Amino acid sequence: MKNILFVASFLALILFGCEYPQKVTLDNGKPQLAVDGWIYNTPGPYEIKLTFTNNYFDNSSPKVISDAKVVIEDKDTLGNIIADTLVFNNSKQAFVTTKLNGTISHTYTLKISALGEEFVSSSKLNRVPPVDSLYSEFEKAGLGNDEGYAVTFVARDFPGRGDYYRFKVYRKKPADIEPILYNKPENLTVADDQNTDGFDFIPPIQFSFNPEPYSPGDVVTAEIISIDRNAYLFFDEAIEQINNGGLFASPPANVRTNIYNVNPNSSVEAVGLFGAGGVSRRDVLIQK
Amino acid sequence: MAQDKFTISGYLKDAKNGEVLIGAVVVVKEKAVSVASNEYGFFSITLPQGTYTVDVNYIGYNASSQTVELTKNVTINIELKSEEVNLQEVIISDKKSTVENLEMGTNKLDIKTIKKVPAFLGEVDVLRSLQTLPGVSTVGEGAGGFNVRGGSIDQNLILLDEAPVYNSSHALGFFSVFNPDAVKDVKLIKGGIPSNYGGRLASILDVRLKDGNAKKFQMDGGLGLIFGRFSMEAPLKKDKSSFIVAGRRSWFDIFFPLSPTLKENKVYFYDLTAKVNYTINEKNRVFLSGYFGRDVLSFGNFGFNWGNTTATLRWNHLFSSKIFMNLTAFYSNYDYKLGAEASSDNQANFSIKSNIFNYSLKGDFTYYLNTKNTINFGAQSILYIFQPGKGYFASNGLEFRNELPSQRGLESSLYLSNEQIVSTRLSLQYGLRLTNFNYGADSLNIYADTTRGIKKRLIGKELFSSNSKNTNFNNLEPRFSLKYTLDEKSSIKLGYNRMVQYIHLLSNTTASIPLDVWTPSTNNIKPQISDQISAGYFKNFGPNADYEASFETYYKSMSNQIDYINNADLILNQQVEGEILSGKGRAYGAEFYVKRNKGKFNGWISYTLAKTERQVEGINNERWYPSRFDRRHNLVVVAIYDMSKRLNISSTFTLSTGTPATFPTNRYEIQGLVIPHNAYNDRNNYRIPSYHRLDLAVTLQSAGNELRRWKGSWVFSVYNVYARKNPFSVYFQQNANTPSITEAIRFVVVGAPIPSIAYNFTF
Repeated sequence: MKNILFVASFLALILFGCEYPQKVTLDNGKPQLAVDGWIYNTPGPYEIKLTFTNNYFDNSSPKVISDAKVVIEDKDTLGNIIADTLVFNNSKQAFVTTKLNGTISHTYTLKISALGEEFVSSSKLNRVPPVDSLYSEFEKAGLGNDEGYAVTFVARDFPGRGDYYRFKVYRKKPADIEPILYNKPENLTVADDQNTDGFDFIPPIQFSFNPEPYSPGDVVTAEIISIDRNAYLFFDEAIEQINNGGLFASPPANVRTNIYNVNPNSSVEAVGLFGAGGVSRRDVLIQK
Repeated sequence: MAQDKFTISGYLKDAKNGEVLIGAVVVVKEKAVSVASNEYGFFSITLPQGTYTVDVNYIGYNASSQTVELTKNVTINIELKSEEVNLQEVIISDKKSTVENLEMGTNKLDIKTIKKVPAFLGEVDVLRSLQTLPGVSTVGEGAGGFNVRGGSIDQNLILLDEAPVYNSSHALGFFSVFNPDAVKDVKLIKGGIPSNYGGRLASILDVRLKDGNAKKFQMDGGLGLIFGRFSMEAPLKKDKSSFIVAGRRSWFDIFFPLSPTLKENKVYFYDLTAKVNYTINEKNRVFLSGYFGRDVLSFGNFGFNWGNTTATLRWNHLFSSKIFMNLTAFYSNYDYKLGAEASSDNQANFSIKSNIFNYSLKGDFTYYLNTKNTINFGAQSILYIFQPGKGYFASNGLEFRNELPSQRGLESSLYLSNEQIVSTRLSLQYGLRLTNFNYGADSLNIYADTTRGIKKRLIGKELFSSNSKNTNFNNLEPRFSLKYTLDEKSSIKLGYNRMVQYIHLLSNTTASIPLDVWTPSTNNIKPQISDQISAGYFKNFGPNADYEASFETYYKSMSNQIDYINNADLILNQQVEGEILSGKGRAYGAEFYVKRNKGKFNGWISYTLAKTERQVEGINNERWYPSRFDRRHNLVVVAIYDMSKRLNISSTFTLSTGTPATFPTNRYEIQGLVIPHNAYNDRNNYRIPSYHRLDLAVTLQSAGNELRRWKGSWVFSVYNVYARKNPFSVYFQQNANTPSITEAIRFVVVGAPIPSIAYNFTF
């Protein structure tokens, strides 16, 4: 439902208001462990990044933690567990898996020993629906969009409530070597199926595949990632916190984490997200 | 020897248009007693047999004086002539001066004054002019509603001819719903709230509509940058019955079809206010009034609209010359709807609707016992029906409905109070209000009390029955105020009131949005209660007592204040009660107010020093934190200079402390996105920069014969003259071009001077 709030705030913002840089002196906070890593059902290795949080205005790369023990347990539906001890990869500045293959319906548990504390997190790799079709059309300029090619994305939620998704869109212009993910705060898009169980994905998800008009020769890739509820809640809150301007901002609040200190009495808390996701995608070449 | 006593009673009216005069003072010289006319212009004084001089005074009107031979009950209806020759005369209301009046924490604004205060885009606005008064503030430019003495916006009871208005704004928060052409009187009560009012913690805003010109046909209207306005009033039967109909509509959308990018869009708002009254005989008068307003926004196939509807039927009846009754029945509804219509290339659609309905019956009685005691008593029942949300979603033939169950509330109250003149120096008003609230729904949600600050877990549902626990609430609300006259020109006043609020607005955004829903007190949400004590010193000074000053302080403690878990989801949420936290609040402050009523150069200065805080489990590590709308200093200067009969200049200057905000201390990256983080879980740990603004307006009456019926005036105004970029909020984000850089952004609603021009007329 928060999507509706965003539409409302967007309307308010285009009607009124402007933004200026503001000078602010912020307190420095204590550095905390930040975890960022995903297991997908696409071939590995998979990366787990451990860093310290930066002061808010410190734009340098966060300090990487390499002296940690990181294990991921892969549990299948029968309860069989395979443990993989990750190794630190210097070029990636992250811990990488050595043997795991992300599989749908498996549950992955991340165990971290770092900073003298033990942290744990787990995530289930959920089923993902296919992208049924992706096609492009020419669109005239309207309020909020320029003239150009836009893609239409067709996919359908599985029947049965409790599915959560993240949507990504990549663009590869003729001169690009790799597809480039649209990864600005406003591009982060997730959905649940609480009100739309079994539906085709409808606006505003549809809009998210068209962050800007495309040109002939571009290859556009639409991706659905099935995520679990914790990851959905993390992203849903993150969307609110990283796009939190305007008249109808909600109170800034810390985004939840699914990384827990094994010792609940410890004052050392981690932040971040460990997730497992099923991936499906489809490409379209934009043609005249 | 017992002397026979008789009563002088009657109505006070404006000689020009027959509108009743509220708060005009009737003085009986020989006995040095006085009484003010009530909201319907009625007064009553009981005196021993004799001959008396009865004077009536009302600022802006010629005083009237007559001799009354009192040998039996006497009815005198007095019509006062307005002093003004044309619209230019300076009239700032305050009928009985605040020094003499028992009321405290009360501000009145005359519509003529409101019309002189420079207005945003030239649109005269009742709510915005209230914000020039001490103790009244807002969270920011364009935010809906207002905050009184540290209360949130839903803690103000806004009454339009006694019916509550749930959303007092058009265009989000830029314009208020009250059409200035139809409003007669505006009274804001912040403290020492009399027992005939109840239901909200912070204030009562009592807006009364005109009855309609009872003498002759009258038209008023105007065209500004936002609204086109037109109103008509006329007698239906001279001095017996009259009506007023007033409408406004924004008109800038007429240009949309000319623009290729805007032609698919709609943005407009309108309201219609109407009232008719009929005097059946000396003892009976009836009034029917109504308001209907709507805001419509639509962009392509996405649409959004909201609005209030109210209807009030009133019957004034005199049981005797000493007992006045007003019986009111009202209906009020606030609703919104948003949704997307299916179109050819888009098979999906959705809609969300919400309503709050009220039906109420209320009787208010005034018994003018004797010159020393005036007793007020009455009863009221309000039935609330809440439809918190009905969602409908469809795509490719599939449908889904998410309908939140409707809820009911029955709020009943009884009150009794007495206004007692103890001596020439001491007056008291004391009373009690007994309230009951009964919550009803098909089933009750039962939540486990889990970790602080985390969404509560639903553990079961229970069928509702009349024996259900925690759904029936009773409260006794004592009210007290005292006035002690120091000398002819100064007095001190003390007040205490307890207020209870049974319905609550769920809103966790900085500015309230039209999508916010009201909820009753339930088995999971307790009624809000506040206790306020206040003290004030009131003084008139200067030659001819031109200046009127007051100094008031207050302390308020509030319980069961509503807050929300982090990242709460309040719309179409079946378990919204699980996202609500309950806490304590406290607010205290001092208010200074100086006003010059007379002379060419007039206006007022108000300054408020205030603090308002909350303490809520699960927020800010259980420490007290300032409310989002807390402003330490708030200064407003309104200056009006009447250069000639045709020309006046006015200006408003506002200066206030920035509101508190929560700023991050740290950041971390997730999947290439930078997430802000506060390592200490603080709430409202910073303040945004202060707010200041200067507005100017010039009103020029059209030249011509004063006897000519058509009178026009031009209003030129500039809002935010020196282009201050006042922050509405400061927030943090990744730089749009270099996403690895994080930056702070000042969000400014109006950052430029906004000139405007409007033409108004009366015929």
